[in-house]
Amino acid sequence: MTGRLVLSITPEASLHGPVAYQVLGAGTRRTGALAPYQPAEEELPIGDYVVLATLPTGSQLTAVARVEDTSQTDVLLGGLSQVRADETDPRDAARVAIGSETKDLTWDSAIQAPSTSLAPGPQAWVRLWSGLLVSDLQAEPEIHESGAVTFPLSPGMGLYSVQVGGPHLAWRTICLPPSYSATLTVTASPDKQGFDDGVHVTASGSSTWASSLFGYLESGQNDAAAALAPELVRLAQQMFHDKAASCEGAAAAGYFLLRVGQQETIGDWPERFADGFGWLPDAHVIHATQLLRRPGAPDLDLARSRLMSAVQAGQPPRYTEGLRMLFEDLQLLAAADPSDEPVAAALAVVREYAAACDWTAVHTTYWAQRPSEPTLERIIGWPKDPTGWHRIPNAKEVR
Amino acid sequence: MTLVTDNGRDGPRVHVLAIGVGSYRHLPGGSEPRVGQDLFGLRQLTGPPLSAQMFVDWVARIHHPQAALGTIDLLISGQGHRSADGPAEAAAIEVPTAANVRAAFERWYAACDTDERNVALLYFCGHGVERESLFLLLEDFGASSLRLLENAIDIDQTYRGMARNRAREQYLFVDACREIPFQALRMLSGSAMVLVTPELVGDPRLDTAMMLATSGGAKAYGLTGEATRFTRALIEALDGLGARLEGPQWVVDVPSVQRAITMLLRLGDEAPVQVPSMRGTGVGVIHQLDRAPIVPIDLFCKPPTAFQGAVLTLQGLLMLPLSSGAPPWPSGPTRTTTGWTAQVPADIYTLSVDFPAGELARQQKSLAVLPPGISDALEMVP
Repeated sequence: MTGRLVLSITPEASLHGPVAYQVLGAGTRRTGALAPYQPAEEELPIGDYVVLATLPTGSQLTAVARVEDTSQTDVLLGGLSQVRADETDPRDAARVAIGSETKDLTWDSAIQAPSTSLAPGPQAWVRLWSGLLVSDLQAEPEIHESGAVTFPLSPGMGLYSVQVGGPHLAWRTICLPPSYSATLTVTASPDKQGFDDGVHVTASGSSTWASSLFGYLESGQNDAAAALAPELVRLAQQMFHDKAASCEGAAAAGYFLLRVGQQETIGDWPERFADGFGWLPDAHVIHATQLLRRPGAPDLDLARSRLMSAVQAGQPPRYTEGLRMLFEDLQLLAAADPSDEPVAAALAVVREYAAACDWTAVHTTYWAQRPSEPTLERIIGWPKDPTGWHRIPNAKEVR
Repeated sequence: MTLVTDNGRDGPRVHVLAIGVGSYRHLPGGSEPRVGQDLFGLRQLTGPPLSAQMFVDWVARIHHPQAALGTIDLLISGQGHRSADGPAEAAAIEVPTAANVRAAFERWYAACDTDERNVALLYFCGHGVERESLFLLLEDFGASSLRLLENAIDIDQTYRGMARNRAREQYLFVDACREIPFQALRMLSGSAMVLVTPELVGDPRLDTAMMLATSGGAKAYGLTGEATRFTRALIEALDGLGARLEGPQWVVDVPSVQRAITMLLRLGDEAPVQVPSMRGTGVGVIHQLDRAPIVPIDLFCKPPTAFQGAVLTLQGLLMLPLSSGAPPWPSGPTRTTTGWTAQVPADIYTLSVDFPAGELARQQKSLAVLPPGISDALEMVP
């Protein structure tokens, strides 16, 4: 005898993105992904079950459910009271503050920042780069109760990045995801001597699935990431037939499979991704890393060619995971053939980005005077060019 | 050589290298301080010797599903660690200089390399710095201002190089303060040691994880004279708060440990922000339990005014494996100022709140008590 268990989750509890769940019972363990407004169903033997949802923050939501044969059992996961100790986690505090006010912020915009009470204020600026040229930002900032300032961006598909700086704030570049729309979030940070230099900046794209997946990977929850990955892999494999498919989701799927060592499960997809999206350094990195991790005799020539293409894009990979792989792969090639001067030169370029980057960011973020000039020097001030940049408003001014 | 445990290298074994760097000879207060050279304001540490000892003590009771404990190699500088076997052994504990670490690593590497079913565990506690790689600073760090990274480990490259080792399961725990100001990173000259050079051999490892005490350039924390917060959380996680159910068994696996540490590091009103991070495939089972884990719970009333007259009882339903169910439990439920705390075996509980004075009717609900713990508001309905 079996019954039906229907699981749903509130948008606030799930941070507006999909989350991984488990259903545990006597001899039963089901796993899956659950998104707001998209209930999940499980057909289960009659009995009592524990439902456990895991958030990218590491917090968990639990519920107990009795499945009977006479009716459907509904379980709604949500409510902050079920989350252990989130009062003491400033990242969750950011989620509460922001999540209660707007509906469009996702994990990496709301949670990455150890947010504090006030935005950076009038002493900070932002500008958009298209490749190596300053572009028009065309975005109205939104100021949130928490003090966070967000910029909804619609740059289009391409190598876009955002630069944030100030007269007392180190200039840094944040690579935008390969997405038609993105959100930039700026919050004050308690970190005064580290990378943040007092202000934390994150980007997020339009794919909540990609954001959640990267959230799980960043926090070391590879089991939870595995629950979301099948949907992204499915979409990635469809992307050559479906022009609306998410390039952002495809990159997330590729990086997940590399992280967990399952890169061969998608066959030649990385090669087709790199061929089809040659402008995207991440696509080259994903294919090169797949080749280099192949046991036996990897195709070094093709891997080398891919890595050189990634560097020749003139911009680092959009994702920090990709920058790490590019750096590691080039180190391997350089060690294998110290006489390969182009590889040595490419490694020197990538090392500059790697040295200046924030390894905790989902999207590649590094101190830089210009997107192509990463640096460990603390460059501060206003841009010399009077056009093309916008002052970041202060929450205090508006209230 | 400080091989504190040697049960042999035959068959599948867990081999451990633990390093705790508390005293740094070239930092202020060390035996050979660099006069006039600040070395980024780094200071002596008291936590690492205690933390390394705590980790080694835990490893002595590891119950890996496939591999028995093989060897434990321990290197420590600084005071406070305990020698289980008395002063003679205490005197024999090697100091983690670059030379000693290199030699110990080679012993450990060779032990791990004897069988592909081996499990390699590496633990480090001390100063660290992250630039293009994560560098772990050894006891003789700062010997030359011309090559500051000379006596440091490039743990990222070492981790990748370990793909050459036959051990298919490899777990690295890095409890390092990373507190050099970002803009000072360019002053770190020289090259750090890569203890095993990565090669183009693919990566045949079954499961790997490098768990880091903090993310990016953030600080790791600890109180003077105590093991660090990360290591204490790690041990609590390994002892059961990082467990999950796998069939009839409670197992401690990498993602659950990571979640438990993340949660434990958030606890405490005064706790500074410390977010651990992880690299690697990271899904493997490190340890299994012979009973249900003991799980902390915090319960409070909504509205808080209902708490005064409330009496709480918990009844274990013995629905989860190996649960001892009934009291006595390790603690509680104990009243706090606004609610109750308890430590009980993982299980499903029926929670009842009674009001002897009749303010409200009896309230009941089912409560899933799973690691790493639960905090729940009890809605009191009139």
